[in-house]
Amino acid sequence: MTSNENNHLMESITQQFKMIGNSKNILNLGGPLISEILVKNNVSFTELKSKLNLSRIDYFDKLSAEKSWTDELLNLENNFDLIILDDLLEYSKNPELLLENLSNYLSADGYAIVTIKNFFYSENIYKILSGIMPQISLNSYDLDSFNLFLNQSNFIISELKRNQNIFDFNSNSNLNIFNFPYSVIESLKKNPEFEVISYTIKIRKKVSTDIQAKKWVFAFPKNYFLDDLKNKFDYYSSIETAIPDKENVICGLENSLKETKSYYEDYIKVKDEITNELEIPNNKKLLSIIKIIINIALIFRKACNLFKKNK
Amino acid sequence: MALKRKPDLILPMDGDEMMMPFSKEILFEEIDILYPESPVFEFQYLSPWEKFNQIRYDGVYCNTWSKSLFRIDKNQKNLSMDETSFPGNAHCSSVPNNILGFDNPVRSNVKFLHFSKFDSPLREKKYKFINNLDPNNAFTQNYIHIIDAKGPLSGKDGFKFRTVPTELTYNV
Repeated sequence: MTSNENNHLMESITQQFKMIGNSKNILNLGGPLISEILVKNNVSFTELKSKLNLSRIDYFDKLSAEKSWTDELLNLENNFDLIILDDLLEYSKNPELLLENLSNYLSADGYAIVTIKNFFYSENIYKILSGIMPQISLNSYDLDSFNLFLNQSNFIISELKRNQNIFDFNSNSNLNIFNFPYSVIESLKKNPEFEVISYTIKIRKKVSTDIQAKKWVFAFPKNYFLDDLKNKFDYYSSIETAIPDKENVICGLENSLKETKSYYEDYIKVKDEITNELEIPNNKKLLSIIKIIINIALIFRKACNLFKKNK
Repeated sequence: MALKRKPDLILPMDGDEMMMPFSKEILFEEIDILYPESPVFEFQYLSPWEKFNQIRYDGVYCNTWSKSLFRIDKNQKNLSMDETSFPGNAHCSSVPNNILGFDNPVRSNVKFLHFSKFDSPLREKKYKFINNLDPNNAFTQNYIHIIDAKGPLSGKDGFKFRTVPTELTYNV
């Protein structure tokens, strides 16, 4: 693990510990690191993983298997004030069922603390635009898709902490900073979540019933990057004099396009086979992510064609 | 005048738009929990067209975002709007230009239903008004997109529409 990864892991643990606050009756479903911190700080809690004595994968399966909680965990109390799911939802085969199981063990005004990685963190976007597939978990989220998932599972966010990290190109030899001129990076940064590597989120059961409204509004993409890029193109098209930044952007976009195009052809066109190969049960999420990647690839293609015409 | 009331937040509205039903929870969650530090929020404007549950969704109509909600910092002394390049200061922002974070708004998941072009008489009225205010606008080809699926601000394949669930719109 790099020192950078260590830093944001520790930041995430600190955020989780702060969110625990004065909760009394705590269940830790997550890993041993949180347990260690709780022990060190004399916080009493119940731990499940050590009781079940299962491998990490079997443990994840167990948590999201239908009825397993009631069959196997008879002795578990059912009114926890707080349940901790550090790094669990993304690896669960059925995160909806995991939350449903969890809600049966949570007191009426109880909370759960979850951590998720931001799939659209800058490093992943740079990789996508460079023709490199980022690492995909069983369930990959960004803030909006996670919020929608919570909404459908009748949970709501009550506190959110962002774990920010400015990506360093020197830390990844596969990425070429020259494919990303300043203007492109500036457009990418318009998305306020661009430099958020992970989230620590406190959630509680939802009481209101407007599930459909959220579902509907999330159907519209926010498109920070594409809109900003389009505005830049409109601006560049409207000015006649050549400016160095304009040339840099064109050159950077053309390089990115070349890489993204090969990525698009090699990977996305065979997405069905890839999806089957990976045996990912939740295809919808992966496909929606791929759709966004295609959109980015297409806008790059359009943009470059526009510039070629203008040149 | 607005600052004298010592507001935490200001939401300027034109009067011909409505937030989509059930927006309260989404908006409060964004203001208080998801983006408590963000000073400016931007909203997507959807244009109901001929039917209350039918949204025009081509060209500029599928991608109209407007800054409409902003926080007032305790050090904010005044609110000022920059002059636009259009006659009558047309197309000016709803958010004062001197608000911190003006250039980096957060995009909300709340949608505004903008009824200014709902039916033919409204569209004709708007078309005449804007052409009177800003005649011979070359960029928009005289705002032809308001009354027809033509011009650079319309989609290249003509009209396109999306249907909103009836419970998520208003029969005004």
